[in-house]
Amino acid sequence: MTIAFYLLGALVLFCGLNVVLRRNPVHAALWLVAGSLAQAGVFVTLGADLLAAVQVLVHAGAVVVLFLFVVMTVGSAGDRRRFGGQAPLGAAVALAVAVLLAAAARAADLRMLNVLGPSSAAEIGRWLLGTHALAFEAASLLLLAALVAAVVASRSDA
Amino acid sequence: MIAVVPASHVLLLAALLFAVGLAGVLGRRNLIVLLLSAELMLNAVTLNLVALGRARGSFEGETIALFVITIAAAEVAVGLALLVALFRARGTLDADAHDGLRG
Repeated sequence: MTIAFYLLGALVLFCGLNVVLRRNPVHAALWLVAGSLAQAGVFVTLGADLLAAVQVLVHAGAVVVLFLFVVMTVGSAGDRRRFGGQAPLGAAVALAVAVLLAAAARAADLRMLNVLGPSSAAEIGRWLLGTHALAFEAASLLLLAALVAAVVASRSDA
Repeated sequence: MIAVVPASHVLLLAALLFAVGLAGVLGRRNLIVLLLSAELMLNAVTLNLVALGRARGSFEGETIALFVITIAAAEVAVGLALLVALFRARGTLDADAHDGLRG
């Protein structure tokens, strides 16, 4: 399982790099599907089973399909140039952020992750409906608001 | 059976993934790839939450990660609706073409 974590982690990074570097947006969306599936695999190796299932269902199954619907509507012409004017500066900033986060990760005194057993959906349900019940209800309101906003924002002038 | 992995390795993976997504958001011109890179950043945040929750010995990190995935889906819906509206206004998906607010 440990080797599986490192292999799947490398796969997630590789898929992420391809999302950012591909010229065709449809290819980038498909690399994001692959990355989401690999990330679900990482969740399984860490013991977060419910989250792996939700990741496959929502992220890989719904979000990227929504992207592909929009690409079909709008057209997927690859652009003349991939990167904007500030792309080297953006890459430098991203590298600085990565170095900072990696330093923080190394400095934190955290224990190994397999001390806790595999997660149980019952306990996550207790967290959702107990301590985070308000956030749970607010999330459903947020989804309703997002639904209405998406319908209104994408209407043509009629 | 769970991977015997120190938490700092998982946090490092999440940091690298976040940086890749950030470079994509800052550097790419196509709006669709920009939104895809933002999704990548949210994936990294989810991984971070799971690792930190388990390192502190509770499943609360995974619960909050569920909320993050929910909010990511809502954000994608609204972001894509705005993208469609922008495309109808300008006829292109180039991020540099929408410079109406530039002074």
